[in-house]
Amino acid sequence: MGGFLLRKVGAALVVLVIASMLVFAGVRAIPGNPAIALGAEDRDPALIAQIKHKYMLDRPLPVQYAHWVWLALHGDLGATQSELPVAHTIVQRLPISLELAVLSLVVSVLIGIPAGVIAAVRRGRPEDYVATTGALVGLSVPHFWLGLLFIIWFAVDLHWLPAGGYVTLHHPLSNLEHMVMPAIVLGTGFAAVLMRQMRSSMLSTLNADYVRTARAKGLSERAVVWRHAARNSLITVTTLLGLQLGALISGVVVTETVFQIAGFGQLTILAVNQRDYPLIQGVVLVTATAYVVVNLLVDVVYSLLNPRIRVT
Amino acid sequence: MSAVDTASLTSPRARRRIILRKRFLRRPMAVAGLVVVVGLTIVAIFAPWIAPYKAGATDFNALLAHSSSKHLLGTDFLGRDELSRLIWGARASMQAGFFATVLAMVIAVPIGLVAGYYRGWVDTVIARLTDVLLAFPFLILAVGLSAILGPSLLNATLALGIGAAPALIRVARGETLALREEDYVPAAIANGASDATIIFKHILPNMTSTLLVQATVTIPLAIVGEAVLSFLGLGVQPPAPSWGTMLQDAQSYLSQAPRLAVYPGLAIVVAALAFNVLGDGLRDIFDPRTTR
Amino acid sequence: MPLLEVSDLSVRFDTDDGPVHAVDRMAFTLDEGEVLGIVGESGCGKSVTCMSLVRLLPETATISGRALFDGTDLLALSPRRLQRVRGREISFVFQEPMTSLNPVFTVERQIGEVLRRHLGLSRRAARKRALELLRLVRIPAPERRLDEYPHQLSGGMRQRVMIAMALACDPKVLVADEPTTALDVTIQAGILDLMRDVSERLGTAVILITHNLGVVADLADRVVVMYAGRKAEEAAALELFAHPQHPYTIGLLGAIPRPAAGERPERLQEIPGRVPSLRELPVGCAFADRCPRADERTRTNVPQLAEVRPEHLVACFHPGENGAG
Repeated sequence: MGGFLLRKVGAALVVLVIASMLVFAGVRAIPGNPAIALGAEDRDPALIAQIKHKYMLDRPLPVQYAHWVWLALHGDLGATQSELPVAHTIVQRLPISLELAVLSLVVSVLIGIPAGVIAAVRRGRPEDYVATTGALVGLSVPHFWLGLLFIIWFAVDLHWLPAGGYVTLHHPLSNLEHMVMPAIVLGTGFAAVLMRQMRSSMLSTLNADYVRTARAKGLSERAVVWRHAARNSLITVTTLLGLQLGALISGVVVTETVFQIAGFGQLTILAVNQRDYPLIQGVVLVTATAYVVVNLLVDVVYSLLNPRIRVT
Repeated sequence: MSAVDTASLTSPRARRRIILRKRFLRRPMAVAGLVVVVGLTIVAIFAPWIAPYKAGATDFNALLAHSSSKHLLGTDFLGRDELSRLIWGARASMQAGFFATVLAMVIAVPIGLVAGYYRGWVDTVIARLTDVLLAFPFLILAVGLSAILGPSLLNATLALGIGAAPALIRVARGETLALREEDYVPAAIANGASDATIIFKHILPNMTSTLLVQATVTIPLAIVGEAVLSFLGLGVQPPAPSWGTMLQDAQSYLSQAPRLAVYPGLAIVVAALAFNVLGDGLRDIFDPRTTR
Repeated sequence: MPLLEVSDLSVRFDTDDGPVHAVDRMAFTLDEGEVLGIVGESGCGKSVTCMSLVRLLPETATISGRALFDGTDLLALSPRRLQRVRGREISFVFQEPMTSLNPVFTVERQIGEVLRRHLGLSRRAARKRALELLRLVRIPAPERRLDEYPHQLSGGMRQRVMIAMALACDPKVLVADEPTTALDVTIQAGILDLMRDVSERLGTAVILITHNLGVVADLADRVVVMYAGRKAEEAAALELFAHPQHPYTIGLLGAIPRPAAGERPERLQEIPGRVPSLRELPVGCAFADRCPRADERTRTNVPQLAEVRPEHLVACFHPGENGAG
């Protein structure tokens, strides 16, 4: 297991480095004076000189890059257009997005996994058609549209739930009220993907020899399906889960925009629309890091679940 | 049994096409998907002739109007005909879907072929990179691109194409790896065929069915992706019509005219569903294990 | 009274391309503690026959007939009651030990599962019993093995674990479906020895399914020869090998390589032709197309089982050791 993880960590670091280089190059590639892009829109000569000095803009690129990385590792990601520190702004908003992501994942797992198992076990029967069609529709429906629909139904028409916004966890009930629709909207899209993967995996697991052995041992059908088949399928699906995390990040960004949640995702869109380059830089860097780290976590979880890797 | 009768008259390739067509016709869902896809394509191409109004034509006497004989689906907040904008929007979406997929293929297939065929360290590097990039949120990619290049339909298409490439590289590489183990490859080499010949005459043609299926499922992702990007302001810029920008506009009028949010979304769902169903059907008929 | 009495057993699979008659009116008995060998080539229905007893077949299978086990008809049991028979009264050992064991559970867990399901043992008691069982099947360092996963064991050891699992609840019948086919030749003898030993010690009846006559000669008391879903011949093992009656059996025996010292090696006798498709029940004798003794009668009538020699049944119109009928 050690070797497996070491390789994954190594790959993760490589990606991180490449991503940081791309971000660095991206900002410098913007036509115009980088100093202006990095914070001196008002072209105040003193400010320009200050920024030039801070980012070492007159030194060769590799030096600039190293210096930039150095600053970043110390938590200094520059300042936004409104003079706020980028790092601080991001850190403030991350937990909100994290909560949304986690809630959505929970929803998607609770719906998607059992649906996939049932669809596979009752293949060809009505339950299977319902689940499979549901998943197909879930895949084709853009969840930001679903979000708008939910707002129309539950907020505007029925007044059951708030139309958007966010309340901190200090008020748990209100927080939940605001999170219910976004989490379900994002969760169902993900659930569709999970359901298809689980069903596909179960169809082959249910044909495995060890399932036949489990039946021959006289185990109940429930034990055979869930303890033996589903357990193995879940492990396979975990690897695929990692692949979906990127989609989850995108989903969080969009969902926050639809529901006006002041999280990290909304910050990203704000940054681009305002052409706030230091902020964009910080956001992209943090996203890349988060993506790499989470993927690494999924790899760790997988290696723990799969005895073939955990014990050699 | 008619397949047996025609066997003596047609080539193996033609016979296979007949079998595939029969299988396809036995799947009503896939056929329906194909019909809708063709319909959408026609609408997209012939938009200028089909749309009752020009995309930007405003009518300040009928703001947020309900459906009428003049405006079959009503108007939006600027008095623009909803139906026409949907039709024009189809153009943007189909364009994005189609060209992004083409771009992704153009990038992915050569890389996948080279990686799978030559193996070695080139393959290892490509495979590792692809694995990591596979799920990189394309949205962040699009964010980055539009930050540098400015938001537009073209840049959105670019971002979508690049974002879809890693998955296609993996497919192309996988197919190449499998196909190069086929018996006719060493036979061809023994006959003095060059690498290029083997790749273009033997491997690539046998990948087409898989690539076709992949394209059919990538297009709906690109269509939805374009809608998302336009909705967020990173793609098509208003006032140009796109299903995504229409939804963005609708967001401000949810209480007054909720139907404005329904129509474009429905259009996206129909388009995506059609392609997905078609793709599922194609995948099914090309699967060697399929018996019907 | 025999422990297991199967009569008129037929199994039909409904596939997309039509029905497949895998087993046609099969019948056999098994006494307590007896070792019965069922031999035949791949696809002759030997595995299907035994799996149908506890309905381990896919849903496309239609099973008819009677299988009296200790007086109860297995084929008429509800799924719930059948689960109490599986693993407890009738156990299976399958061909591929690597894929037949669940890769994500330890040995202890997999053996313990049967013990807790059927005997209600506690975790501690189950572990103790599992240890005993591993010793019974002669696995070295059993305490360590309990906590290991299937991929950490060799093929032979995995098969021993399978046998331990099958014997956990002291079943009356152990069905071994090609238990050694997937193993190295050097390991095979050990497994067979183990099975014989265990069967004698515990008094377990064994049904040994195989296409390998050498294996049968070693272990079985009685042998049933199957062909194309039907029983062709049945006799005590020694009797069968000494006086085979059915041309198919003779052909099988003739196909065994027998290096004889000093003599010129004979050419291996093949049985020409192929097994008939099971999509339709053959009109006459199933073996007719490949049989040197075939004539008009064999092509139009199905031969019935007859006692040609004492306690020796054959389904053939021209039985006999030397081709004479």
